[in-house]
Amino acid sequence: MTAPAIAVRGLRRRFHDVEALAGVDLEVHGPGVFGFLGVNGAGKTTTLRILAGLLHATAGEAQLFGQPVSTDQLAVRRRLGYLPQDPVFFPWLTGEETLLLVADLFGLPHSEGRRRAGEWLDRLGLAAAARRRVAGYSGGMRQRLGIAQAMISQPELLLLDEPVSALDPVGRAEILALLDELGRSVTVFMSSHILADIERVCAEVAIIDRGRIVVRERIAALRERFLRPEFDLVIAGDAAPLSAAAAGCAWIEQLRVVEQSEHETALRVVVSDAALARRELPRLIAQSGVELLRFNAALPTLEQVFMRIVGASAPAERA
Amino acid sequence: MTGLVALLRKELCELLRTYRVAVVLAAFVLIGLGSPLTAKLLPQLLSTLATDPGGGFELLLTRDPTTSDALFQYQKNLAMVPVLVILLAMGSLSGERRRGTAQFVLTKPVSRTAYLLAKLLAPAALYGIGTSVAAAGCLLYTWILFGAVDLAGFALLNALFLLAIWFYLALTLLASTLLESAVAAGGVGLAGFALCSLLGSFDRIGRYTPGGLQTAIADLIRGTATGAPIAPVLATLLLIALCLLFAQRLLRRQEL
Repeated sequence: MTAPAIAVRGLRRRFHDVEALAGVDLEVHGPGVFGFLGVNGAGKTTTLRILAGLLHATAGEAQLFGQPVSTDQLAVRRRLGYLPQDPVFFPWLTGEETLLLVADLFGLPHSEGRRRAGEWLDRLGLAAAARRRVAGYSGGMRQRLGIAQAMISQPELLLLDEPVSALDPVGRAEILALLDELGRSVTVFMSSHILADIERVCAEVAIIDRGRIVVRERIAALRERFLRPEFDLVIAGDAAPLSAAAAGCAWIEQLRVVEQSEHETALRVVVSDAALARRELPRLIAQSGVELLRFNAALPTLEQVFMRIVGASAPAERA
Repeated sequence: MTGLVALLRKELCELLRTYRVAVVLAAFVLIGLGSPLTAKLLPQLLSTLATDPGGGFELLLTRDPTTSDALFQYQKNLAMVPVLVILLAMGSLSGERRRGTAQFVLTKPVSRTAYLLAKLLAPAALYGIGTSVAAAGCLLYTWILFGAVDLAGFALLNALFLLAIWFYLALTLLASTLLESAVAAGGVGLAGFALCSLLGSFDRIGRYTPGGLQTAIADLIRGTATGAPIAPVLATLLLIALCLLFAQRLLRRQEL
């Protein structure tokens, strides 16, 4: 069995009197895009910086491809692409020269480095600015260049710290589509506090809160686990016949009108058993004789799940 | 030494793009050509002032300037080069750490030892070229203005100077590895320069320090050297090695 791309056990890191990581345990197998979620200060960047060999752990173990992470572990770094939260480059180099330097540091032949640099500059929309000095790049351009430099060596594992935070909505959509594509062959481990981005490209997530992993699950399973037993209905006309029919059903806990207009009524139905309700509720509506316009199970967003896991846990403590 | 060649290319490119090559070479050209010229023309300039009715003083020249005067002037001018070396090297590592570019490089498959060596070797080569340029200029003008120069002695003089420069470079790199602030690293370099210059003036201790190299250079120019200056050369080489070793140990464990 191949070693996991990332294996972290009991990882701790203390900065003076602040415990940034309080025993992180995590295993990531690739390929695929893995989301690493947490509020600001939860420990995402510290974890990524330890994995990239930039910080030491106070205790615990961090491994990439079965090899312990250290400042001298060059064989591991050959398989790794890393994008920090705020990518920084040499201002006296152009975008193209930056990528050629990275190719050179990875020991790629010059012709191959030039070919890959051209390819990635093109893919990330930087071809027109390739010969401009990086000092004149905008934040979004620097972030795109950061992704290009992380990808030029064709790594097996990409560690991305907030990879789309500096991008505009169009740029964000493009990069997320690219990450989605990369995830088919590469293990992408990306941190973010933008839940919609994670939800869009990640099949699996870990949520870190105050230095500990509180959840690690596939997003679909997470949604299922936190599925609220609620249904949203829109019917034509008045809700009275449906309310009368519902009165005899023990599994319906609540039926309330959310919005009412002249021709239709929006209702929220809270049930005790979601599976039973999925079977019985359409039948009940048909029996009551009302005309059904819309019927939705109230599927929670990742944000709602996140808020239930993390947001509810004493904001005062976090502050 | 994984990545050394790539890192050296990067360092040389940086020296070129940030105009350090131009600044260093200009300084060395000025020293090389200016030293014999100053030795030749300064007494004449002072004489002009002295004979001026409003000059207010009388200049007594006991002899005409010689090759030795040109070389002493060359030594005096070179003696300030370590300040330039320290100022250019002080942010070499601390600056890259502070700006985050050290992270950019050291998350790639390159060893930290190679990173440190590239920081030493690229400017060391530049100062080697600069010293050669200064030496060629000085040699040419001294030959034109004063006559022949003992080539072996002159070559040794320049080699000793270059060794001293490399020591101050290594010392400043160590300080730049150790300290967060480039200014503080520069301060350590300058303090080291002042201390070595002071110790160099004490014959017994001075010969075992890089400061002893200046004394050896002066002896070469005067023609009073009694043998090869082995003690200050070995002491300086040892100190360079210790600076690098200490810096390498620090850098290996350093968080970025």
